[in-house]
Amino acid sequence: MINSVIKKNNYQDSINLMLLTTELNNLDDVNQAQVMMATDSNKDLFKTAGLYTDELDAAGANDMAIVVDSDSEETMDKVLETIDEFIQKLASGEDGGEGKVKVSNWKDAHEALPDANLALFSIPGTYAAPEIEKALDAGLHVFSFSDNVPLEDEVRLKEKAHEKGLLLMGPDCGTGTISGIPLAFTNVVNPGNIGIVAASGTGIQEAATIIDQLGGGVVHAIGTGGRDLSEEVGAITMLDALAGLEEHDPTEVILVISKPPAPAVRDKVVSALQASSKKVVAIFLGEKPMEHQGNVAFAYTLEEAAKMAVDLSNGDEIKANYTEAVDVKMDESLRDKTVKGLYSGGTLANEAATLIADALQLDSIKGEHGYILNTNGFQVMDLGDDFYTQGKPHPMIDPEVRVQKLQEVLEDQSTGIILLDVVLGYGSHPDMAGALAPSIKEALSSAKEEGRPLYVIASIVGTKQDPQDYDQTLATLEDAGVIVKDSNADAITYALALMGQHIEFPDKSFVDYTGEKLQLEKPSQEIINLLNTLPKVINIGIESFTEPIRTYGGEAVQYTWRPRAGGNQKLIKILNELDMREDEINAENEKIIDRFIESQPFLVDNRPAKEVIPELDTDEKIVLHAGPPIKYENMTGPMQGSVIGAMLFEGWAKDEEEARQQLDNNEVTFLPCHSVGAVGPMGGITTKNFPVFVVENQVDGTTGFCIMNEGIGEVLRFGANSPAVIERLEWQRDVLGPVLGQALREIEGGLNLNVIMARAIGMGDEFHQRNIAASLVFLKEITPTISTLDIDEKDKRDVIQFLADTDQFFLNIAMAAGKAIVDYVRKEEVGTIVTTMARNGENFGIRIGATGDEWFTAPVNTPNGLYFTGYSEEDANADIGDSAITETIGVGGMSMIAAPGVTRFIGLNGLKDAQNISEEMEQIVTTNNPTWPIPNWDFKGAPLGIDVRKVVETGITPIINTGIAHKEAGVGQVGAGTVRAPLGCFEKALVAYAKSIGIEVDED
Amino acid sequence: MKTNQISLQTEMKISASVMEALNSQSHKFWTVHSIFDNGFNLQSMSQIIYISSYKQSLSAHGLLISTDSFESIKKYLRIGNRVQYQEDFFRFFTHPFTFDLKWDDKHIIDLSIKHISMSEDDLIFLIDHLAEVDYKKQCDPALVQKITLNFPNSQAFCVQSVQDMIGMGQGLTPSGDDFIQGMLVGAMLTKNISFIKAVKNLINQDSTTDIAKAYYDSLFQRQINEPWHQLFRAVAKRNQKKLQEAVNNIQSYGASSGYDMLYGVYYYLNQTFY
Repeated sequence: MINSVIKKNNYQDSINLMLLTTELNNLDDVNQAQVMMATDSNKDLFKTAGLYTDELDAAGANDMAIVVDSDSEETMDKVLETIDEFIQKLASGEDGGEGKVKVSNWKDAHEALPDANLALFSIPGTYAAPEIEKALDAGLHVFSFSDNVPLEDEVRLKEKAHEKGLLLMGPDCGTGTISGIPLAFTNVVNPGNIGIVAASGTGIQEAATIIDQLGGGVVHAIGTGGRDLSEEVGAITMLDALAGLEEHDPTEVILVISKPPAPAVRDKVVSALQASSKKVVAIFLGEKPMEHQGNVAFAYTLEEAAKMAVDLSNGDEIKANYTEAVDVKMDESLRDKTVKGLYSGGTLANEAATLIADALQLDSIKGEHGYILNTNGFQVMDLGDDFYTQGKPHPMIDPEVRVQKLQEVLEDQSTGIILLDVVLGYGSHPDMAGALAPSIKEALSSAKEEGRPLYVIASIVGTKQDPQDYDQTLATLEDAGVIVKDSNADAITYALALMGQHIEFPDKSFVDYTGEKLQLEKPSQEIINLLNTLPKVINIGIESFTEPIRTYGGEAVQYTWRPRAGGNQKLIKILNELDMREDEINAENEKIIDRFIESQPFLVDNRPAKEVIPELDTDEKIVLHAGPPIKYENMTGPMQGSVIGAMLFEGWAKDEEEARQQLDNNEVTFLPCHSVGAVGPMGGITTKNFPVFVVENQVDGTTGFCIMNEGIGEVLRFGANSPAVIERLEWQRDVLGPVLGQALREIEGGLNLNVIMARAIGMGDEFHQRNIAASLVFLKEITPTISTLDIDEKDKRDVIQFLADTDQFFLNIAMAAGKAIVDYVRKEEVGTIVTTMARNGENFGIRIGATGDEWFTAPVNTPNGLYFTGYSEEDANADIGDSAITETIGVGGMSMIAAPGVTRFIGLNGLKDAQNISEEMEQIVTTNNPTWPIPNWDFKGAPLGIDVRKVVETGITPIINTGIAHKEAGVGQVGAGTVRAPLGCFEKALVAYAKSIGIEVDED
Repeated sequence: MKTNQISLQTEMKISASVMEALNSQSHKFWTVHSIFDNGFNLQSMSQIIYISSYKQSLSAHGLLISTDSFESIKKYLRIGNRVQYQEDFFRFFTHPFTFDLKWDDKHIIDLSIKHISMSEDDLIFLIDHLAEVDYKKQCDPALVQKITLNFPNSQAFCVQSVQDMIGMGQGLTPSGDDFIQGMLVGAMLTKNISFIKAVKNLINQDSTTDIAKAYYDSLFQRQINEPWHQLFRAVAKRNQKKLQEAVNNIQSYGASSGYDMLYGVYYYLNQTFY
């Protein structure tokens, strides 16, 4: 059976997911498991593997999808436990050590490492180009482990890097060393006076490790990416790197390595090398040089190149020949047999194919399915080719594909020799030899039983300083029966000698170079600095890449990257366009923020709604509701129940049946509260005789209105409309509202709500789910005045008692304050800051600065929380109410840290979780509001100014603290918890904003 | 930005034989062989040089640099690191820094003992002084036991008696070698050429450690660490105080190396004269 689990908004990098996949596949009873981000292309891979499910279909690019095929129902429990442990381990940084700096955006990365000079990318290639461009624009050199970047992007980015005086190493740069510090998949090599520039990852590894074994050392190994010497790219990175090494004093010898280059580009590079003041060795794989030219010694194999470089670095002359006689006789039983090369390193596979083809006079043509050579039964496979690694770990990490291939090639009776590479170093499998050994032993044993000859010959690409144990690797391979040679070239020549074949390595001598010499431009100061300082790295992607940097003396900050806008290319394009206008937009947003911060909400009165809202001062049946516009028939149960309750309260209908008839007859007109300067909690239902608080923003007199809180449980705002509910509303209309109104009018200027909120936020309120402190402060402020009023004593007592009993009483005041603030803010129609968030039970609606009154909506989510006894999630209505005005102004869920107790509603556990929530919210806001400092947060202000750009970029949506209504009319409140705003409305707002400033937007 | 290349300026005191070796191989690469608190050894093929700070005395195959420079380099130095010597500087390639060590002044010290000659009285004066050291307490106990075993009757020694002491003991300068090197000093002072030649023939590629061999090589070239020269001068001047200072300096070598070597000198001279 196939089970799937979707972890919403849980982005992990591909290596982590692959490791997790491997771990799950190792569990008992798991037939097959796959863990990937649910992008469209990954969904195709799930389909191909027969692991597609409905849950996966509904998942998005930011969701982690786990699909498991198992015959046992209990297996999923173990699977989930394994996943949780794995994620927990990652989150706690167990894999990476302590004291690491982790950030989740560029801004924080630059702040954490202000003088960073290098960005190391290991994110999916689809998203890499714009991120690389950002790094270049920020003046950072780039090392792009990321591959699959379109060639045209590579050309454009490398040209940009060159213009800015920066090095773009890659894309598809697997390995490198800067100032002796290993980067990405890299061996630890002794530092020395050799500088390598290479368009070949394993080429660097093979040459550098041989140099190390020979006692030489490498100070810089600059990878350029495999396409740098293509006609299109024109060796931009290689030439800039060579220019840099030319000026780098400790570099005395330059070693250039390239996969087969475009001929013209190769010649251009050689002409530059001829002009170098350094000693130079070059190897262009696939070329068999017969002589050295001018300043450049040309090598045929990587081993030869390394030996030449070491000789030159020791001040010795280049020898005529570096070939050592192979000390083995031909094995006659191998006469009709073939060689199979199962390589994890592409360049090593290339080298094997070249040498075998040379010795046997075969055509060496790169074929399909990762074959570098596939002629007459002789096969050399690059198992790191995309064909084998789509959705699977690289064979340097995971032995599986090699184990499979070992079995396959063994079944081919012609196979007499198997060639392998075992690559050590950071990033590689901790014990590849140990992982391969059982299969190798089995293969050799089977061959022996069948009486057929079989040799397994390998080389180890590694040094004794690598994190794996070199000597143990050697011992394990030899114990398994493997013949281990010093280099790949050694292994191949040994294999060929066993077959009675020999490669000619003629003596070479130097001849004059007669071509033109290309004098390179002086390197930029940035490149000089890169080569003469310790790298300070922003590591974007695979976290383990920070380990060697820190271990060997560099500095690194981990940027835990997620695909921008969930990988939505249309939105990414918009965000990129907006990035180019960032200063202008930020300046506009600053105006909005200033208005938020300068607002001075004062509670000045309480009046019947019709007296302050002209739209209600009519004989028509006008009903205000929460959220963006909605038709009655689309309202959920509680809002409909509230409408009926309000009609009964107003006396428009004598009973529910009559009210429904009037509604069916369209006798009632609905308006959003927000459109008339008001807000209303939950259903938000407000009619002409509801008493409303009047809050005035004293900056310019903008007002905000909100009905009064009725307490909890069976209340109108949650859809209840029983006689008791109506009776309470009538008391509010006749007593509570007038008394409070009279008292407030007695207080000169009204009550300063900024002050009350500042005091209460320090006492543990966040003004949405928890208002007890503010309610008490309000009681403290209003009671003396009430006591002096010339009114009925019972009314006084009842009012004061009601205020004392109603913990959430201040919520509605805070909402009115929020409305008075945002309507003042909204008078400046600019920018990308959210100025309204509200829900009507059907849709979540937002408005932003630049687009004024326009609503952007998306279907609401259902809250997650705790329920009163007898109720459960099944009873819950979808998210509803204007109370998200509190989050709009930066309190409520945004300021969860102020009220850690609220986290208990959603199964979290207090201060740390609350802080995590507020810190997450900080990622989508513009600043912190100094008006409401939060003691729990070292007096940092409430997060302020939700920016749709940030919401869309990160996929983080505001968290709303909320009450939960029963989904049926008439029941009322059944619980409380939190709910996320849906991303869709922010995406729509972003698109609309982009269009409003003239950005061309792709159609869906 | 933190540079990866650090230039250090130092005074340098260098043994003449080391200076000669360095100059004979321009642009030569060395590898860090071993690192101790007070110094580190560089190796190139069979050649070893010992670099330490001015806090230490000059080794026959060594050089001294300023304490600051020494500490700066040693902090990052690892066994296997490459060190490049050029005419006027050393370049140490470490993770993550490249140190260029240049010198303003270099003091070349001749540590040869070819010209030193001691009279019988001198030697007796020295023996008497060395007799006051409690070798059994201070030397490597395994060495003391071995000497008792190899020379049971306090008889005159023979080369065969020392053969199985070569490479005997722990560490990079085994105590057996320290003792034999002391005996060689005694033989040189008494001009027992045949003993020196015989021992030289016993020292081959695998008989002891690289560092011990470096000391043997120096001795066979009649080169000896600086404190021994202080000792010889003090003996010539019959200066008890200076003699004791020199002995103290020698004794401070290694865990027991200094004592082991002094024991060798004393044992050899004592056997020869008494």
